[in-house]
Amino acid sequence: MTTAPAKHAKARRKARPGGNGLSDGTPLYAQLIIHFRQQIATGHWVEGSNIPTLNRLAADYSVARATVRQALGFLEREGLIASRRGRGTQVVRRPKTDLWFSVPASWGPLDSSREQLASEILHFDPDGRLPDAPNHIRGALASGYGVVRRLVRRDGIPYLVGATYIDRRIVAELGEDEINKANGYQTVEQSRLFAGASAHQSITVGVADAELAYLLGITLSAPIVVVERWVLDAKGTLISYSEGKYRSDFVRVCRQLK
Amino acid sequence: MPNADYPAVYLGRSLAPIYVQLSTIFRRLIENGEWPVARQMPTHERLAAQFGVNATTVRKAVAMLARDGLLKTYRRRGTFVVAKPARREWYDVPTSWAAALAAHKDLTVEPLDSARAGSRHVIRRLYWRGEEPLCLEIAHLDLKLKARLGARKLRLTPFPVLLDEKTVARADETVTFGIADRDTAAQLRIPLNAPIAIVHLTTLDRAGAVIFDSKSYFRGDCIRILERIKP
Repeated sequence: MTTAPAKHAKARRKARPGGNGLSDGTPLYAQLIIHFRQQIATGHWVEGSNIPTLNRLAADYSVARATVRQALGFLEREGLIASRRGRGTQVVRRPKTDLWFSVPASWGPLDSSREQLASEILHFDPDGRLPDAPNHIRGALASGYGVVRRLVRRDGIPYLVGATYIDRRIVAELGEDEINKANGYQTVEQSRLFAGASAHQSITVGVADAELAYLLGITLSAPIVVVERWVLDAKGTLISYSEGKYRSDFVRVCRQLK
Repeated sequence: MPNADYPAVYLGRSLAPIYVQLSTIFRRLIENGEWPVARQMPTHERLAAQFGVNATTVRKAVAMLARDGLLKTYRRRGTFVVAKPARREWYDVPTSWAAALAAHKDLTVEPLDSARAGSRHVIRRLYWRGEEPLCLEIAHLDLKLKARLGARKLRLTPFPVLLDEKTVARADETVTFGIADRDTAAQLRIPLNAPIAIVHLTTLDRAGAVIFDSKSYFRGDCIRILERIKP
């Protein structure tokens, strides 16, 4: 008998009794922090106004008052809310999520405003292993790939962890120094293999694992946007694959349908 | 010794339990094939040393993934990878009008509610793919458009099929990303805070007036925008 494993995983993750929608795995107060922060970010909790009372929130989410207090304490230290004795708790400001990065629809560097960007190389491996999932575009594989992993900050805020896999022939052609210096797109463009190449891009959504959460300074399981790019040379060999994982609150995609 | 792939992970800073954090890293190693299916994963002792945690923590992380059917521990033989996390079938978000017209052929529309809001009409509808809700659409329509469509079409015809193409001068799409609030989570049957994609559509007529404007909240784990970017 075959059953879809996804179904089982889903069933286990479903809402707990009480219907507050909170899931297992992460502490309740941590989930509430994320949720309350979202209430502020979206304007459901209005800047300058009071949020619902502790009792009300505890009842609303079927959790202990202490759990709500713990979550609100965290947001207070973050400077988003302030409690004033006898007058309730007020929203002071919205979390900063205005560093829009628009994913382009054509080949080119993924970020043109380079001056505020600071890129730090996390890792270079001259003989990297191409990750085998999820591959949306298939091409013949090169004999090997060099891989560079980077952490990119914008205005001091880490917002992208990228890995670029480059055909070893290009690494040999341009030299490791060049690979480490330029961003992945510049590197590939400089190669003679780039003539007549085709490229695809996919944009998907994921959640931050512990390493990504740590590097980007976001919560575990926070949403991330994954931008992958595949470059096939004229013979159909995959000469470059890159995977950029972005803080999702800084990213958008704009397309003209008509 | 820490793996060179993990230069900076420090599990003590997050609010989440260490074993939960560790399980997310193991999950990724299984997902990207670093730990291949049918092969033994590194020993608990080695992983404990690598991540600077104790063996019990590793065991709890392994147990989480064993419950999800990804790992299996055999006595005296060690722990093996038995499966990769299952992926949902992709839903490709259209990036052209033609693709948008074709995008809904496998979906069914369930009307939730509708109401007049000032000079617009607001409808909320749920788009289903098979047995699973895919997106919650909240659309604002021009009243003239509403009158022309009639009640049944208004309830069941998906965007952009419900629009007369000749009247549409321009349509723009903006996709942003976030997490499910309570209403969205309940409608889409996903956990609170689960990742979502929000597709915002604006459609203008020749006079430059907005005739249809919608926000669709998609479950995040299956949506994809796939495009050819060169040549």
